[in-house]
Amino acid sequence: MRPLALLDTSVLILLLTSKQDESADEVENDRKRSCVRDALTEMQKTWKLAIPAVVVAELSRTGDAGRELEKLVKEMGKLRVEQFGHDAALVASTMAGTALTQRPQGAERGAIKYDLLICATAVASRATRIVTENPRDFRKHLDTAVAPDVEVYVPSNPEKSGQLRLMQVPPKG
Amino acid sequence: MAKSDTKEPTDWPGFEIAIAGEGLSPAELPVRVLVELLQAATKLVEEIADSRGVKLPQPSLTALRTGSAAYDLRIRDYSAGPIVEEARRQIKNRAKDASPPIRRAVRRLHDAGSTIGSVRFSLYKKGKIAKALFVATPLDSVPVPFDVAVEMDGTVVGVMAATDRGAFVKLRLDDGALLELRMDPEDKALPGKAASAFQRRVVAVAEYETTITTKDADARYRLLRLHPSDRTDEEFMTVVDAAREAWRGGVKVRATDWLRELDE
Repeated sequence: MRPLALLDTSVLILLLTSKQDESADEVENDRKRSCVRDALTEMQKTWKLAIPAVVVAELSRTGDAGRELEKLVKEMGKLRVEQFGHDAALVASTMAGTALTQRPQGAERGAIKYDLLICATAVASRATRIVTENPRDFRKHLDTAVAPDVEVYVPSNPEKSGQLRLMQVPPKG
Repeated sequence: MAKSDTKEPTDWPGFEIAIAGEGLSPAELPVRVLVELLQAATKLVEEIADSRGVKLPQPSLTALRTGSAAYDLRIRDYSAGPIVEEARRQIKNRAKDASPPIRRAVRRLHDAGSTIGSVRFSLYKKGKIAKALFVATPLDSVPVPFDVAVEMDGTVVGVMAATDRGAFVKLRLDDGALLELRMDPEDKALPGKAASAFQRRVVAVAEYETTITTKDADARYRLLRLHPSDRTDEEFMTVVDAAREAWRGGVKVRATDWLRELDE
């Protein structure tokens, strides 16, 4: 059985857009886009790739783009969409309890966002990798659910296995 | 349940059942044949009601036509209307899509008069008798040998259980075509398995079925087994690229802005 990898919203956004101008941010995102495409082109040979249902929801936008986005969301149905079911809801409930307790003072409950639901989907569906270009709090949520086997994979900045973690020493003066 | 006690029996939903034969009158109809005819007609109505989870009063014999061996059977319940309509449909279609109990009931009704003549069924619609149908034997499915059963890859996009036509699973194949696979009504596990595979890629093992009077449009598959597909997702990037092309038509979106919105 091939392992399952879930794609997060940032990855899909990069895949579905293209460089619009020469600003530094767009150039950097274009670099990430190339890394994502290369990584997924390679991964699709040996991994099952899926999109969590909550990611389809997170793709929503307002304005003209929102209306256009309906077409895109329909197309997403052709891909493997990993459902957010009862099992995932139970995992999310555990994660949310911890995240709510540890949230910064004054932060709303809404601070518990899609990334938690994506992590819960990964744990419930026994995915072993989340592919993202915006790791945010993924690791923290996964550790809450005691899911160390789920790797958070950033195509533009992959961790090298076996790499020594060198301590950074601030320059003197 | 809406009872129709206050109405005349001629207003109740029902049908006429008869044995058509030359010079056949009630007096010439053996009692055993009559009993079997009435029981077979009652059984057909009961099986259809059962398949819909409806409990109906037994049909009553409300009239007898003396010129021919024809009997009026009426059910003292207005909700029986759709049931007798369905009985007519099953007779007309020779129980082609029906579950085994209904197929057996149609066969029994046919056999009830076969030694004397042909069984004739006429539905009462709005108090008037509709065109008579002669009851024929159900169309038998002729399954092809198992070794020519097909295995197909697709995504489960629909599961229809407990419908009038039985249980079906709908697959979207890789070329975009939609295909309905029939599930055996007596297989209780398969619909649940299909439902849990909703929107997932599966391998379906199906048997190509045909009937005696098959036409291309009637050709269909019976699902034998279903299991998750382990096929590679090599089309993943192709689908994503197609989605991007379909979407980008009018609106230019900067990834930078969109990604920033995620963190707001």
